[in-house]
Amino acid sequence: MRGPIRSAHLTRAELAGRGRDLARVILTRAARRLDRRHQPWGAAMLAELEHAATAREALAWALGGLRVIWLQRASGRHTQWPEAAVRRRLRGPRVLATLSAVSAVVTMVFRVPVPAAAFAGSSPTDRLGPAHGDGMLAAGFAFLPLLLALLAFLATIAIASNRIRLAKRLLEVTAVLGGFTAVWVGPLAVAARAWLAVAARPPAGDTGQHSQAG
Amino acid sequence: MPRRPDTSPQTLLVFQALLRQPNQWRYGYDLSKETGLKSGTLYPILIRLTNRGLLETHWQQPERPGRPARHVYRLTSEGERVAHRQISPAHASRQWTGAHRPAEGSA
Repeated sequence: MRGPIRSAHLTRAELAGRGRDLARVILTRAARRLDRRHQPWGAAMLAELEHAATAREALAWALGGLRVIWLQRASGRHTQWPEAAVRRRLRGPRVLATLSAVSAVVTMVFRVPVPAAAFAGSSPTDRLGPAHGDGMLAAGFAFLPLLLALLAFLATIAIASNRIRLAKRLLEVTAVLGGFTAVWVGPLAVAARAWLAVAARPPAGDTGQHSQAG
Repeated sequence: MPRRPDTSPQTLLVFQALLRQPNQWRYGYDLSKETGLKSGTLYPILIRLTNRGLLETHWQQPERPGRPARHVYRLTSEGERVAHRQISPAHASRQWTGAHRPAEGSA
């Protein structure tokens, strides 16, 4: 004979039990992520969960516990970034950003003279024209350093207004872009200038025809 | 301008609840029920007050075996002093605004 057929639907009591179990699992797993100092608070919330009157309350309690754990972890991150540490960390990117900004200004105001011959004749920049090519290089020099200077300035404001986390994010972006600028933009610009100069050089035997034309 | 500590309405609710029976150890769940605060709001306050030495905590052994020990809370003497000091101006300001607020439409 077949045994009694078990209903596919859960009874109210079973649902409540599962809700409690779910709440317990959520809070237990979340509490493990607390640092050692706050572990007792996770255990405290877990112990109180057992006294929730209904499964819904237990779930609400567990979700509230998630917020507590998130807040404590966030405050832990905050305490790892005291103002002095941020200022110290800011020093490097600020120096880099300042130097970059100065070099950008120097490049824009006293543009390194590129001989007109460099853009004449068989130069690949013929269709752009000399001014355009030079302007692009200057923009290449100027854009990233100026962005760095702006980011460093914003980070300073963020620190002054005690927005440590925002300052940290800005510093990270500044550091990444600063590294990119230092490693790539300078050498690329030098290489581009050299390439332009070489490409525009008149072929052997063609003495100064192109430079005259230029 | 930085906000003065322990003056939020939620913290004042916790102070009021703890001051009702200052010598008695209180459970977190009961405090939550009494104040109407969710655990996500109540526990950060309890943690902060404990860290500042305004609240003392203790693990109470369960009455029935098999249940976990419960964390209980009570104001310290310093906590009582601070709670009284914070609650009285809050009461005073509420009474003041209640007494002096002009009736709607009378202005």
